[in-house]
Amino acid sequence: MTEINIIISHALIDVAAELVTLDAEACDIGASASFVGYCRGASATGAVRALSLQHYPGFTENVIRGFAEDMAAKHAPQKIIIRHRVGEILPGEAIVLVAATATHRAAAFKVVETLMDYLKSEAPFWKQEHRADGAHWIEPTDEDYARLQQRRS
Amino acid sequence: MPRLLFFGQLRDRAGDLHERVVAGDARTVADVLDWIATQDADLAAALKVRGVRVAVDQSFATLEAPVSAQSELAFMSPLSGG
Repeated sequence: MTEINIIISHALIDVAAELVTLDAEACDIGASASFVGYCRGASATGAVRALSLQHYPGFTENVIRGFAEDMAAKHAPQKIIIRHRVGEILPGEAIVLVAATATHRAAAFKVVETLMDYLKSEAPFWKQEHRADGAHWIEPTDEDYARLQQRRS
Repeated sequence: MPRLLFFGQLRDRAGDLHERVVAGDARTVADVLDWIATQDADLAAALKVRGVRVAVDQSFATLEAPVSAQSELAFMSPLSGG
């Protein structure tokens, strides 16, 4: 049975330590895959001084866990870890780490990629960009809604 | 009485309705929306736009979903993702 470990926190993500622990705790795996998303210093609309990420404590973790459990049922990875920052995040800091171990690389890659797509588009987070002209909430575009519709059909 | 939470841009708009307890005898999410409309008509309209979702006691819910005196209602702005 897949072990799923999710932490949503204001604390900095220690990417190296998390990956060392993940691999050290793995038993008889053939593959480990990971993705780290960072806060960029610029977006399409200009320089970004910081991001603010809001979540719904308890609810956000449970919804993400539900999706991760679906991934586990489909691909049978050995372990999935998800680390996601909330609060104020500065350019250069890691926002999210997703990693998975599995018997074979296809499962590890698929789980990480699909989870990242999900976290970027459907997970219950709300994001603000802080720019020189103030704070701006990031909301889905018409294109985002159309892509979501496609994924669900 | 049910307690209200707002997330994303809706929290800015909700002002002191965030974490407020609903007055009166609301039995469904729709009843709560009607009450909100008596407090802030603009906010109530904003809760009906595309992408806004509601959860009752941390489960996604519809307008017909029942609420109790101990319920927690969360109105969520369209998700930005992480």
